[in-house]
Amino acid sequence: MKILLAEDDPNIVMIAKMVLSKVGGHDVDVAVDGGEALHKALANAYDLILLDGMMPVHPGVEVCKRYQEQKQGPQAPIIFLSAKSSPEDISTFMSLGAGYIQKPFDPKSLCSCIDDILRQAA
Amino acid sequence: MKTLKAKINILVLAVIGSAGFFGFMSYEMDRKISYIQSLAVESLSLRDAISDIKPEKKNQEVLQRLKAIKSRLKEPERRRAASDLIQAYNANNRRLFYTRARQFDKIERSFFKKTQIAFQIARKRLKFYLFMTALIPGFLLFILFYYVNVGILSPLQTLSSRMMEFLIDQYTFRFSTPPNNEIGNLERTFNSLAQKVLNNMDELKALDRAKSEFVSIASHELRTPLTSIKGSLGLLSSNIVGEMNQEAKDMVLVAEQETDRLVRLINDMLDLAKIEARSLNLKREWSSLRDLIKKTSQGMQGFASAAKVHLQVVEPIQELEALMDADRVQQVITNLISNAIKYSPEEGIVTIEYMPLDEQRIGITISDQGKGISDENKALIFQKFRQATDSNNHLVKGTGLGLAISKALVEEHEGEIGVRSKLGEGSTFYFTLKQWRVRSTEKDQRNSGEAA
Ligand SMILES: Nc1ncnc2c1ncn2[C@@H]1O[C@H](COP(=O)(O)OP(=O)(O)O)[C@@H](O)[C@H]1O
Ligand SMILES: [Mg+2]
Repeated sequence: MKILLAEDDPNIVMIAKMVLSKVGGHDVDVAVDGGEALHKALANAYDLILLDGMMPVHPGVEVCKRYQEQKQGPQAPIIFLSAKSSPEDISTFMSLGAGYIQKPFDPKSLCSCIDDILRQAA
Repeated sequence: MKTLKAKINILVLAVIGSAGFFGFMSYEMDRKISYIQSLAVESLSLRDAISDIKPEKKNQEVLQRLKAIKSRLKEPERRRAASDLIQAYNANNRRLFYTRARQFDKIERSFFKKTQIAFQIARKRLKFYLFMTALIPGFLLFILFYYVNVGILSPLQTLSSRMMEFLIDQYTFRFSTPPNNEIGNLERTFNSLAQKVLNNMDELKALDRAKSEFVSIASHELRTPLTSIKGSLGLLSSNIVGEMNQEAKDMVLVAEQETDRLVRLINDMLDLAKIEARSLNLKREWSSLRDLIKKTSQGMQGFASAAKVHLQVVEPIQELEALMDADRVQQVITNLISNAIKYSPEEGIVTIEYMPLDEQRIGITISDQGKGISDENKALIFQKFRQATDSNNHLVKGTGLGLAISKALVEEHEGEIGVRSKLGEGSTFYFTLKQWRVRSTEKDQRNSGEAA
């Protein structure tokens, strides 16, 4: 799968990228803020977009909304990889039709979690 | 400022004054009428007395009587007629006496007529005064009544209903133009009170916002580094970045377990902060306890098996529902079951049971066969970060917050939570919910299902 990982914390980027590529065998593209994430998401075709909740420029929810409004053609599924955990936040994610994985995530089960969410959405 | 008090005082005084004045006048008139009547009666009797007198035989007694009559008369005309009569009597002139007697009678008759006229006038006046005694105070009372009603009672009624409006309508109502009297003062006071309440509420809201902002920032700031730590350890322990020797593996396992504990601690603390800030917003609905407990115990099954503990559910025959926020009650039951498992010996049995306590309350109990809790610890363990006994198994280390959270959640449901236990004989944790009912829709649904 071709995945866009939008995350501002370089350590988490390193770990998530390693897990996704080494365990899941995915092709990972990284964006370090909301602006870059939106730009890349609109310019390229991805199979999945992983969005951090809080990022510079645009927060994850904003990126998701703009992507869904502006993206021409088929849209990639979106999963929030967020430290936010309040019921309000989760219901916002759900209302956008996105999945949600809470941080800190378990690197061993991240890929199977993603697969589960994608299978459920399909 | 024309106050209502002044207006009402003046009116009350006017009612009393007018009633007194016209009452007094009526009384005076009544006395005058009696007096006039007595004059008329006297005049009649004088005429009778005079006509009885025979002047032929001069008599001292008669003379005395005539003098007495004269002395009683006040009007000069009548006195003169009387003294003329006495003179004629003294003169022993019979003819003159009769002429004078006729004269006297004529004057008395005209006097009597005058009294009758005066009587009529006086009676009319009496009627008038009596009428005024009723009319003027009555009229003033009517105005007073009007002032009390329109000026006081209905404004008070409006005031109280407006205050209710203020309460119900999220504190928005204020009086626009209070009148210039006592009621107006009340409305002005209410307006400033309302303003104060609104200011305080703004402050409280700002405080609340700051608190939840703090919680959300803290949760982000704590979870971000933990994500890196947990991620790195996970990558190490799953050999993704290379093989480690056994000692290194053990070290990493400890680090991983403690990280997980830290994550739970942060989750619990944030949860507790939210509960304590009352920003929980329970979504209370009727939902099935059977479903909830089944779901929860199934969720705990893995943990129980790993600890070699048996879970068992005892439930009433009827399907019961409780008025609750099912997610939050599940959190409570999960906490209690997880404790029971943690503090159970191997092959121990954890029993989950629920039954109505009375018409309203329903009790849920979670019992274990662990080492129990001493009396002095019973109260302590519901406090934050209080841990009494070491867990039997080290599968999951506690945070000391589980029971504090459970207590807060149960109390938010207006229920009670507690523990019955003796050292060495296991513990039974229980909590209550405020309202239960037998699930009625089940049958109905089946019936309508068959009908369809
Ligand atoms: N079923 C039980 N049997 C014995 N002790 C218990 C039981 N449940 C709770 N406790 C005691 O109460 C303490 C507080 O419980 P809790 O608030 O859930 O924190 P913890 O995270 O330690 O489980 C525990 O540390 C334990 O000492
Ligand atoms: Mg506990």
